[in-house]
Amino acid sequence: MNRRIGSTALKRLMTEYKELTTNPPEGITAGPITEDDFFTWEALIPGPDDTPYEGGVFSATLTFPKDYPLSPPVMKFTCPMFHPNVYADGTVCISILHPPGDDPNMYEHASERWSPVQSVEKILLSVVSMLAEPNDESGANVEASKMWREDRKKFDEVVRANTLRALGL
Amino acid sequence: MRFAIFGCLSTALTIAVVANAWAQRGQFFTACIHLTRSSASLMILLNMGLYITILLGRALQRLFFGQLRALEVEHLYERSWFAVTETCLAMTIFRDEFDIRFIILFGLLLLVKIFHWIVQDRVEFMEQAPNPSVGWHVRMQTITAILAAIDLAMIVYAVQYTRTRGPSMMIIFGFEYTILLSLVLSTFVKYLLHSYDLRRDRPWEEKSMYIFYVDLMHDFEKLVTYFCFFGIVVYYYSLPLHIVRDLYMTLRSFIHRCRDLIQYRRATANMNERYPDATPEELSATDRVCIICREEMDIAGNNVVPAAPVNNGQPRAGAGGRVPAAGGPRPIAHPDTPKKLYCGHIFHFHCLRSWLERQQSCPTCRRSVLEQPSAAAAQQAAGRPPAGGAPGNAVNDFQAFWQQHQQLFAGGVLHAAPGVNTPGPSVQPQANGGATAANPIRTLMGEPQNLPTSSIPDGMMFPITLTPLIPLTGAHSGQPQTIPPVLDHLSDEQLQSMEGRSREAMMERIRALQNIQHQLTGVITQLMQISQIIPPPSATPGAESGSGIGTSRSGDSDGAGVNAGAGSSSSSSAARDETVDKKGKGVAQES
Repeated sequence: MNRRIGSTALKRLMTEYKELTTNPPEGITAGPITEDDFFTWEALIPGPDDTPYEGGVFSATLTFPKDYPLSPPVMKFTCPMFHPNVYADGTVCISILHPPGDDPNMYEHASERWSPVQSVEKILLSVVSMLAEPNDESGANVEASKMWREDRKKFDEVVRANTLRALGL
Repeated sequence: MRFAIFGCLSTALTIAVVANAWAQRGQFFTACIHLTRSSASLMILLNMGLYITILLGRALQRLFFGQLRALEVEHLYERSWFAVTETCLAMTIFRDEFDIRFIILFGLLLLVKIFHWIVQDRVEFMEQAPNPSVGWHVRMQTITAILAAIDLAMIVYAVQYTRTRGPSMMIIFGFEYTILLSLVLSTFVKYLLHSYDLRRDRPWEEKSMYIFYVDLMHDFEKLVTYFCFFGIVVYYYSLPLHIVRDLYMTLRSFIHRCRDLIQYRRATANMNERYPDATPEELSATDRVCIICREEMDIAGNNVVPAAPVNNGQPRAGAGGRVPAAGGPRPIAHPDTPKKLYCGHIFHFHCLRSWLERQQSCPTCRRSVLEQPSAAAAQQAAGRPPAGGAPGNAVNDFQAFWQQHQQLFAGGVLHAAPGVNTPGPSVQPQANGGATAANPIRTLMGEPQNLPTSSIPDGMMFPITLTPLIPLTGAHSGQPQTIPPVLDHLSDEQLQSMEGRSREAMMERIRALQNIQHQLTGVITQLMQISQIIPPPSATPGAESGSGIGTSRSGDSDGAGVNAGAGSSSSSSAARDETVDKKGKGVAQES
């Protein structure tokens, strides 16, 4: 696997990992699961304050393509997550994680989508702000979107219960 | 588990049916007839066939691919679903020929298709997977060869069948296998490309481009096949509903790919000249980090800035490591050379190239890289002030100059008005009128080479009261006065440096044009002064001339007069230069 040392993706991931460990954003941790595979990361994200996600710590995996940073990684929550922009299988649906070019949902501007300027840190920060402010226009989880729009109280309850489950309580 | 139950049930039912038939008839031949006559037993037998096919498929899959990944299984389900529904639609076309044979052929087709899909997924996965073993390669090559052979055999069979018996449902299979053959071939080429990439020590930058071309070819073949099929089926039967979706998808994908290709070619053609190398000053103005690879950009050791145009649009990036600084016959940009886009953002040459393959826009600000330089600069000038410290960007300078010019035009009318309303002693212009008039005329006729500058030294000789009338071309434009080059005395090198599409050449040309504009401005200013000083024939010279100047300066009629005097220049430029002139005089008066 020595040959891959030269690859842009690996070098950049190593740089980002170094930056994230030396200067981590508040509450967020992320890094490769094993040293052998730098293309699969695990991340822990805190639930933002003043939201039903408050107090929770959510785990997710980030899977990087070989042509990272030209293509975005895929982020998937590995804990139960009830959120309008997270699919039932945990995959996060935010615009900066969508590759540029073809717009599958036909509502995003090209400027909102992935570009090499983004980074793991920015993705994780975006996800934290996504937790605080769901975008109900792009409902990945229709049920959650509907509940968030129509019955916020119930939504908060469900999320709180979920947060507790995510913590294993 | 469910599959095991299904298998047990199928087997049990089949045995029961066969045993029943045997018991009733007692003879092989009659038993067979009995089985085929009864549709219930036929269904059971078909079900058994399905079970055996699945079993066979699973065995083959184990043999060639081992365990399937979750993604592959997902893809299989998704694609199988489409394949089945589309075949159901296809059956409506060939409903008259619908029989057991069709079902068997269809089952076989689906099985072969599934293997094609798995191979496709596997080859795509090669990019992400750790180094595959030798056994893996052997299995991949074997399955590819087998699939290609099956496809080919089925195509030949379909063609022969159609030839001897005329159009039938074999057409659909013939076309399906043609597309599969194209798929397996493109997959194999991709496999070869990936294998080659795996063998290399350095990452292979052009790979994505080759893969793009392979995909494009496959799309094209598919499109041609579909159109042929479409034509034939429409001719002999009716509208082939079942391929409409796939046809549309293929067409869309093909058009997208072609568009991408064109844009990509446009963006990367002449990349070396199209995007200038970043200068050390520009580089130090940023944090020196290439946003794509997050590594430092450095100019040192990359002194291969091409002097001659590079014909090859895609320099061999990463092919042979560093290009010696001395360069071969054709200088090639080093892959690590920092390149600047029109929007001012700087990236490594190879990083920029691999990004432009996907998206023809700046990764940082998303401005299209295909925009014309002047348009981009105009946007930049409008959006934010030009970056300070950077050495003169000719385009920006020109834009700034132009804007200043126009501002002067807009503001000049207001600024000049008080100056005009307070004319100096009426004697002044008149007394010196002759001298001033003579001066510009002399400069016009005698020294055409340095028109604008000539007026300044000449002006020095005049009495100080004349300052309002001295055309200060240098002062009003806000540009340092440049002495226009003597164009016909340029050396060959200098002339060559003004050719081509490189940045230097453009700047040279713009400079020359700017000089011409200065000269024109100077000439027009002087002409205006002449026209102001020499009273119109109808007006009486003397005491009236002072007020005459005052009114004519603010009036439009004078602009027309100037226009006539200037002759060649348009009325708008004459009017603009008139106000510029006033501004100049205003400044001079203040001083």
